[in-house]
Amino acid sequence: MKQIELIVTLQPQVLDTQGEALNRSVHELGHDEISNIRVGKVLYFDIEETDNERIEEIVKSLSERLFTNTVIETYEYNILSEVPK
Amino acid sequence: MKYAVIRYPGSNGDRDLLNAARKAGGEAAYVDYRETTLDGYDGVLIPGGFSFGDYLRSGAMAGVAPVTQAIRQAADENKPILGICNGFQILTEIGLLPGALIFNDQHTFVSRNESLKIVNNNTRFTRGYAQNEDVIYPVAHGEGHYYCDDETYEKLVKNNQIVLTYNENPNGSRNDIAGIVNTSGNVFGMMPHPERALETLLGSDDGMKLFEEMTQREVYHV
Repeated sequence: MKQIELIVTLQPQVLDTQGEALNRSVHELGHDEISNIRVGKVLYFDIEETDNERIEEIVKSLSERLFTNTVIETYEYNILSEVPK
Repeated sequence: MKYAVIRYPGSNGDRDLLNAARKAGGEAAYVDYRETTLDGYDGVLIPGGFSFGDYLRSGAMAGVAPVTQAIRQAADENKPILGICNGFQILTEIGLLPGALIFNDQHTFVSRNESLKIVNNNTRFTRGYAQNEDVIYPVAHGEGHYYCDDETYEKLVKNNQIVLTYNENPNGSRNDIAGIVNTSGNVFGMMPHPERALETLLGSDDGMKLFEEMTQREVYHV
């Protein structure tokens, strides 16, 4: 069993209203050196599989069917570690 | 005309849609999202609300519910399919309509009577209206900003798929788009709520013609 970290972000051309609001708040805190905040999501899950090729196949398939909307989002993932039983 | 009104956990426009269908002279029944067939129904109504709590992404989990396959089949069989608000989000999630709905550009929930324009009255949904007729339907959404890329937008224009536009864009939607149809003209998605515009006493009955048109015309040549 392995643990997966899946990072989902809006594609760069898609307006990120959360990021824009956060950007304004950060500037109100006086941090004008910060810009271009983009907010994404991280999913963590365990997968009962050890073969990396098979893991990639499953993660990609689920990412495109459900975890992300590829019209507006993009994703990347990391196979983190063996999950202790 | 017998309609299926799909119900997901978190739908809240289902009763209004059932009422609209019946008021227009149709029959209508609720269909649970776990059903796998829509045989026996002539049309499909996908209600507004917050299916599956809008968790992950609005419409995401509804899009993989068992009833989705049956909705696709109904679309292939050229039955009319109307998705309103969350129903529109679901139709884009499952790819029956192009583009996506993202957060309103001010990131605020917008709830008000909205002035809209019927920019294509040559559909099985909008033939009861005059071309460029102004109508009032309520809107109530936080994620109603219609997004699509340039190539998709050009196709929408070329194929005359843009049906409804905002007169005063409330959410940043591309080119004021409020509602679109698919290329074969039988799948219609829109953010505003015509099913909440059926009584002048409540502000507008401009939605009535849409349901009457859908219900009373059995044969179409789009």
